[in-house]
Amino acid sequence: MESESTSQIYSLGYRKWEKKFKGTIYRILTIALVEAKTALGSRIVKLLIFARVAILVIGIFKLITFGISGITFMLSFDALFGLMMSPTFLPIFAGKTAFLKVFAAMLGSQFSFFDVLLIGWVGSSLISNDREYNSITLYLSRPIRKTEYVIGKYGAVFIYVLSFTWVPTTLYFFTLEILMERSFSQIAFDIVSVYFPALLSGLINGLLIMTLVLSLSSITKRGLYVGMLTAAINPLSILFSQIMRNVLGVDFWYLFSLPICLKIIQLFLIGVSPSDYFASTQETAINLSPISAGICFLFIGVLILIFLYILIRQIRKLELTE
Amino acid sequence: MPDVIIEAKNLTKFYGPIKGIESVDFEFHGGTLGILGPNGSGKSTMIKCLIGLLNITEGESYVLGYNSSKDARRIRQLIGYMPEARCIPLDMDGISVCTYFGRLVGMPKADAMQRAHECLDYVGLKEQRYRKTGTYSAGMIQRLKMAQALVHDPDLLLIDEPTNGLDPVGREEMLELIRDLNRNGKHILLSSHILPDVEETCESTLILSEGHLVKYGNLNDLLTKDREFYKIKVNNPETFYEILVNDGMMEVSIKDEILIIQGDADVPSKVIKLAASNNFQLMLLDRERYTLEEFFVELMKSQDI
Repeated sequence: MESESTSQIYSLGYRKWEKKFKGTIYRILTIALVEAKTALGSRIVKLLIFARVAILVIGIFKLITFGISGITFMLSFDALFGLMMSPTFLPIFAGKTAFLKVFAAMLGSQFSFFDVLLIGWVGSSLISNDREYNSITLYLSRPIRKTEYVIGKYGAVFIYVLSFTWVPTTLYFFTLEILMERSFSQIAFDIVSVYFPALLSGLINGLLIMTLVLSLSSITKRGLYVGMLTAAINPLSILFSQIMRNVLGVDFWYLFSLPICLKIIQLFLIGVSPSDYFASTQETAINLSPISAGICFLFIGVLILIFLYILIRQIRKLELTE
Repeated sequence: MPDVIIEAKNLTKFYGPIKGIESVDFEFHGGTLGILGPNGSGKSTMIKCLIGLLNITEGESYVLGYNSSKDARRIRQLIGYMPEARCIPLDMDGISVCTYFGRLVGMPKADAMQRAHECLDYVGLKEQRYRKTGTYSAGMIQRLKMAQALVHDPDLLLIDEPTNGLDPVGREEMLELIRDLNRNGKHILLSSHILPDVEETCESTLILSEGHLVKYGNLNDLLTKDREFYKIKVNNPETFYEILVNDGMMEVSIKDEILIIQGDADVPSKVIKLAASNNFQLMLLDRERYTLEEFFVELMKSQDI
């Protein structure tokens, strides 16, 4: 071993690339990209991505067939296109209001159950595995701060969140724009008033899930628990809000159901009245107060801050466990 | 390169109320330094304090001329650290791990990849580098940990328990790697509780006990200074023993017909003179020294451990 090795170790001198040392942003991006790529190696992640893309393709295909023939291609994988057959949405080309409502309905699958599972799965092992195998010591033996490490991990999940927020929103938006044969000026207006707010709502949704996943991942060393808890948070919040609503008889409690809360934020951002929307879609008969959107922003903001606090606290405590 | 590679001044680290290390002072001027001590004596804590992985409670330390608290990131750019724990992510292959941690130092991707291949060659991970690390044996993991520490070609290597979990052949290969690195000009700080590892690779040693520095110096000096003894074989050992004692040599003993005399460099000439004047046939006169293990056990006993 000795004779082979001695000649090889100095073939690339330290100082040759010391001048090319890259900085903080490079290191954060490296963590994000490498971790995101590594997560792709998991079969479950591949399966979830395949399922998500399939839903997206079927959704677009159904929308196009409906736009052309008036008949939805009957592959009702989700409830979305059931809505389009309702009397409210049948006049699909009836102008701005219909466009917004159809788009709002489509955004119901902007961040689907599969996305929550996918983010949960990808994010679950990001910090917990590092803790379980002590890899965090290796990371921190490099010239990176704990905050850079956490931001890098956020970045890895964000790549997935961005893909599954941006791609469906963009496809749905422009498919609808094309089907409605809107002019360039109208499209430009919609991009500013609808498309960007829709992306923003997806990012708020994603930020909540990302922070939840990473904070859970920093608490436990078992990635499986993180995935299970993440997948359970929506049903648990629905259950909680339903129980409180039925016990107290006040619709206000519906706001603590995460899917409804996030939907209200989404509708508020793209300019659709939540009351009108829920009344027309008959998803849930909710008597909403005018300030419901504000309460939802507050609720989601507080949740994000709580999860962020847990994450920062756990990362700061790492010194004692190394 | 500064004259003093590592300098610790009153280096102290407490984990809450629990003592990690306390008032450790030393200067390391290069070469190979072995940190010895029983489990829990503060070896890993000291390494982590030196490279700024842990906040120092009191005192200060300098590595390659940089302050461990203020310039920790610069230090970590210049040193290579091979931790004791497994540490390697399971879901990546060996080459990706090595490249990844090279990039985290700040190396451009192409350079990191090239260096990763070189370092994996160097540590003896050939085609195994393309396998997921989850399938690696303990020996392969140790080699990979060494490769990732070398990837940015650091001047100083801090190696924590490098032979943990290795079979005798793997252990010898790992120690040979460390010796080879030193021959190539790397300064090495090796922490181990396996005494022969330090004895076989290090020029100087630092012994910790319950977080305190109990001995620091050149290994050869520590083992020979006031600790030399001579083995003597003569035709009638009991009688010669009495002659030696009568001549004033107090530290003499007999074990298996061999006389053991503790003393300085004058002993051989005195023994030869006494043997000649008393007609004893001198069959063996050999200078010996304690092994590190004997030295360590004696030191620990004196520390009441």
